[in-house]
Amino acid sequence: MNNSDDQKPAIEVEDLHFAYGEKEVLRNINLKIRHREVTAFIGPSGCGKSTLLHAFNRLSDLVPGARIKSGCVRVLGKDISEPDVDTTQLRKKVGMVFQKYNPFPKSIYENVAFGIRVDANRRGRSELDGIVERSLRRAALWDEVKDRLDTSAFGLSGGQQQRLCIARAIANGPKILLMDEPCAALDPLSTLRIEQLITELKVDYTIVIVTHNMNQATRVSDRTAFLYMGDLVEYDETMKIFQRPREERTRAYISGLFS
Amino acid sequence: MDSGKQRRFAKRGKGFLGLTRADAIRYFFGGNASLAIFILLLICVFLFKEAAGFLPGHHAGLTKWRRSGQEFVDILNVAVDGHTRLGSALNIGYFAELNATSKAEQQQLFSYRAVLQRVKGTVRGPAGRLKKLLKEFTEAGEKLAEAEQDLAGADLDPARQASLRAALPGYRAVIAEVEPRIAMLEERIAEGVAEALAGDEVWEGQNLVADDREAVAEAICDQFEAAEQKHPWVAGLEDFVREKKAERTPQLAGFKEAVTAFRNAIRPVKDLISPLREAASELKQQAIAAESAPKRKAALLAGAEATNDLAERARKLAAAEAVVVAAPPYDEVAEGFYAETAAFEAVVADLRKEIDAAVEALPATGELADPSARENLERFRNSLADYRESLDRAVARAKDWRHDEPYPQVKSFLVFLIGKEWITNSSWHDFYGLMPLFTGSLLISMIALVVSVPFALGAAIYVNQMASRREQNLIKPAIEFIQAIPSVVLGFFGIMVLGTLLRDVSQVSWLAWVPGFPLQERLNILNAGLLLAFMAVPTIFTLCEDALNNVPQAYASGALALGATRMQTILRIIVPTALSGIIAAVLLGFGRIIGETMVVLLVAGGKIQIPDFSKGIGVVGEAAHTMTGIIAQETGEVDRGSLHWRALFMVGLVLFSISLAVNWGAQIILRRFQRHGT
Repeated sequence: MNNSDDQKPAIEVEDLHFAYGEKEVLRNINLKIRHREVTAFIGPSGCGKSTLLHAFNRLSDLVPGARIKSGCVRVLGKDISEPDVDTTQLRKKVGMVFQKYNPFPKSIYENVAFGIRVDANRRGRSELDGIVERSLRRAALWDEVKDRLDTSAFGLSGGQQQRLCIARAIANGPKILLMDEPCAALDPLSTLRIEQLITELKVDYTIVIVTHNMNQATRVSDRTAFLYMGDLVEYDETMKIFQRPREERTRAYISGLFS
Repeated sequence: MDSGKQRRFAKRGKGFLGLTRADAIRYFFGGNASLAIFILLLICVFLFKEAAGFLPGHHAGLTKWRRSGQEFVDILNVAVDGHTRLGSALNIGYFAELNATSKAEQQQLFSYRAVLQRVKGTVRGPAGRLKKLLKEFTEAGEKLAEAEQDLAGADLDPARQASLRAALPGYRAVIAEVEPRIAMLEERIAEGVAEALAGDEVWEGQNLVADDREAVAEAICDQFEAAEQKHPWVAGLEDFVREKKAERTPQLAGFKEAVTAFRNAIRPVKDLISPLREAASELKQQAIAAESAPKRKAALLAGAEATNDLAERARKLAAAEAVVVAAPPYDEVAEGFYAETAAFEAVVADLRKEIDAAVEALPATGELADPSARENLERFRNSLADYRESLDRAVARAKDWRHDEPYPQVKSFLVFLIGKEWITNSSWHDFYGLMPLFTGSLLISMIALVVSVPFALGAAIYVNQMASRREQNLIKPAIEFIQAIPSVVLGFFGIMVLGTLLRDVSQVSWLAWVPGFPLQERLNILNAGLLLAFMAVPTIFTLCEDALNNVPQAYASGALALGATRMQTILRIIVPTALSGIIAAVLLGFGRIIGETMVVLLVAGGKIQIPDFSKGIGVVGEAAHTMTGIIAQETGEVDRGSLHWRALFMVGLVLFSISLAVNWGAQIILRRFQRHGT
């Protein structure tokens, strides 16, 4: 990553209006996400934060009728709102971790190697081994699984499976990692482990995390965006949002008046 | 006041048999479930009981076969059977070679005759009427001529002259009346012939190039016009063929001699066997008679007891007296068989020498002009070693054979399970060997699976993963509708349409490289397999679609988020995840196919013989019979309680076991799938 790249924001959203069919779920969103920071999206259920996240890697295409009505989303300087964008290339640059850990019914090794295997450039076995090991180390999972790489991923605990999903995303060599409530299905200890991991990963990756957990947002994120009913209410440094919110709605939400 | 309150909490509605309504409904449903299980058990018990009766009966039958010496004769007969097969290959080869120089012409003549026959069929009505009219016409003409001649002769008595003169106008009138009708009929026939020749029907199955077709059509038209006279083209062909054959015969004299020598070499063996065959047959009849003698005697005595008519009683008593209960002379006859083993060895040794001499005299395969001749001769040479070996075995077995050695129980069971012959209602011996039926069923099922699985799986993947909702709403009901077609209708379609279509396609010359083409039979394994594939598609499709549908969406979005394309996601994640469900679907499809009866009964050809695997994949062109088909076909004609009847039950039991195993396997795989999938 060179400096000229770093000058521009990693993700830039301009006047975005997003709709499912006729129903507009995001209105007039403007947002710049900086490189190698953790940005948290918070807000009550149905406020559009997951939709916004899914717009970043165009996984929103999977929902029939989902479309960008107007505005644009630029990821790493490229407008990805055009229909003819190569989504496979985009998704290799923008990894994603889901709410419910979803490793494939394959071995641990094959889970991590999947992204490489479906890539057009074939790679040799030794190179692949190296990538798998590095990715697992990066996801702080290597020591726990190095002796059973060929066993099913389903034999791992929930927290391990989620870290495997992170390793799987890392293996593709992305610049950005999108995390959609990555700890929602995990126990407190595993959650802690993932949060530590996020802090370690932000050295190399730009991370966008959707969370319901206000404490988690304060613990891991540098900046926080509060969305409410499809509007971006407030977007600022996490400390400011949580200590001196400018908007009344933000203050009400973070103090638990509604959720 | 208390009692009223208490009653409020008591159970209400104690009506029928002291049961509450809820209980009654409960027992009704429970009763339905247990009735189903009870009937299933009843069927199982019945099936097992009847089938179990087969084994001792079958063993007794085989014991009789051995003790009466039929087994001995069958051992010797191996030499004859193998020889017949080889001889026919040689014969076909010889005639193919003889006809090699006039093959095309013979084909043309053959086509000409076949088409002529069909054309004649289309104008049969008018042609018959024409024949009658022509007869009338010639008769009248002859009589007229005769009368005129008589009249010309002067010395006739006046009475006769007058009567002749009176008759003349009658003859003339007949001629005048018949002549235009003849012309009209001739015209109609000519029209009918032209029409038939212009259509495609009469040409069906004839592989003629356009020129030949024209020549044949012309020859046929001329033939009808020139009143049954041969067209010069036809006559020329016939002369040519005759000439070529005459020319060829001396050239191939050596070949023919060798073939004749080979075929005649078996005579002494046949002569040796035929008296033995009669003796064994007679002995078996005696054995059967002796077996039923006590019963017959008892029946006659009982009848005599019951009747009041003295004469009748005396007659029945005498008849009872006449029934012999003596044991058949097994040992005595067997001595005769033992005595012949040395003679058999001697004639087989002679046979060998003569065969060797005949083979020596055969032309080398390379010298032959005709490909079919070469093929047959090659086949003959390849099978020769096997035949020689079978001769050795026959001699050895004949020497070892002992009529009083007990037939092993296990062997009698094996004869059923892996026996190569299913021969019933035979005057010699009934064999109940499952193999021909089993291989037929298996081959047909395999073809059905090989064809239906790709189709059904492909359709399932398309519908589940790629189709729009509108396409789904169209394709799914359409495929499931196939199940609604009654199988007898499909069978009918197979006979009437698919069979003919397949045969015609197989005769297209540029498809000749396909193994098994051109098909000899219209009803064959391939035809039945294709129809069954069609029937299995809905089962496999629906279950595969379910299996694909059960793959969690999270896998697909996970894969897509990693930059996999839609196709990679389907092929690398979704299909492998659904694999156990797909295998279960295939197994259940197999269960559906192997149990199907109507189609195979109608379309498979009904030939009870192990298909000839020497043609490789081409075996699919053979006719076959199946386990389900044999039960459906023969149940109606067997005597209740007979060995044949029980054998059919055994076949049913085998089918039952196969279905059970397949379903069980599918269940196991599905259970693993369910554990894996969630």
